[in-house]
Amino acid sequence: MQIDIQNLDSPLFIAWHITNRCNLECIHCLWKSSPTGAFPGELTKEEAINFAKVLVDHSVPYVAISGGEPLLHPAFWEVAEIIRSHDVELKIETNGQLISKSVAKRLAELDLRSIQISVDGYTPETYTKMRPGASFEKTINAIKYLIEEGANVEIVFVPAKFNIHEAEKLIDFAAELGVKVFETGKTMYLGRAVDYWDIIGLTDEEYEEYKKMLERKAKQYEGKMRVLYYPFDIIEEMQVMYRHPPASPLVLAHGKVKLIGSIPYVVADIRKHSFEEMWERYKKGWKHPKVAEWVESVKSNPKLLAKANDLVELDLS
Amino acid sequence: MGVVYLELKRRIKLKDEKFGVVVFDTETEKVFVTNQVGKEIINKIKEGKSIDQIIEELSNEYEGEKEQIRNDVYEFIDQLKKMDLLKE
Repeated sequence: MQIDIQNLDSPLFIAWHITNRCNLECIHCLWKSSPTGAFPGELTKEEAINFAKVLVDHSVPYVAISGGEPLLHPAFWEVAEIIRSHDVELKIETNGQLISKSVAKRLAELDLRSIQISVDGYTPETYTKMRPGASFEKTINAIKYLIEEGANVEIVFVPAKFNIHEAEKLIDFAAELGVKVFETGKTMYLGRAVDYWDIIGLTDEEYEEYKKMLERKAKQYEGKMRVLYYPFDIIEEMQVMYRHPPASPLVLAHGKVKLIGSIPYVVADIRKHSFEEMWERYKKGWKHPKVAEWVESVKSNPKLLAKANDLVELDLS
Repeated sequence: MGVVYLELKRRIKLKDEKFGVVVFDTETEKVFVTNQVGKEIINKIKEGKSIDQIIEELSNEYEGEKEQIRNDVYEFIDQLKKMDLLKE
């Protein structure tokens, strides 16, 4: 069901990109995250904790924390604990590299809505092609530890020319491990993926075949594990969201607020604006003619998406 | 048929708005919007009331045939079921 955000007093969901620093440097990364990739002026530990308090004070129903690698943020545990102690649902999106047995136990104790772990291959060779320097073993162990502790684990798989042949085996393996959701979709032409598109980008025919396999797997694991295919590519998604804006501001590590990742405009700054102002500006932002212009321009020239991460302040005065 | 109690799924969040309530299933990330009467029914489900109790209370609160209210409540519950918002 579509909901008109203009009628809502506050957001339903906050996508919080808590840090752009990462222990990995994945070739498809939307944000070009890396060990030295923190945004200048990221929120301090204290500021992040305060923002978490703001979210619970405003009864935001659901928050997703991503990065970069969110576990690297110095306020990660405090933020997660504040959110969960107020019965706000929380999803963590992680590469799993830092999840040892004890970290898994601590995460499971938070009773999270889910922990989403990126796994882009069934073999270490393929996995590390997408995530150079990462340990496949650590990621799989992270999943096992979390499931042993009773956490809800989701796997997200980013398809590319070099890994798509392993997707089916990974789905079977995920089901065997006790993963609840296997999620995938069309890879986004954004961030570092732009530089590697020749080895990442799949053809429409390849996606069609992939979709058929996923439909088969969804049926096979019905009632045990959900196999989800996000149906839009980045341009289709932008058009759908432009017509029906989601009630979910994207808050970046330095506090700037965007409409969605694929639109470069910044509509608010949590350091400058109150939560109420942020929400009003977000709603206003979707109606701004420059946003309409961007959505139209990208339709005729998809290469423009390479500039989606150039943050441009939108004049909302 | 005995007394029937309903329960919303665990990770469903309710958000009050001027027009009623937004029922947000954070598990599936799907949203269901309903009016003030729907909001009342949902709140009564959350309070642990049976279907018959809900019908009884709404009949006392609103004017109209009890049979009509019963039909409306069952129709609303069917919608909740279709949206997969209730526990089995």
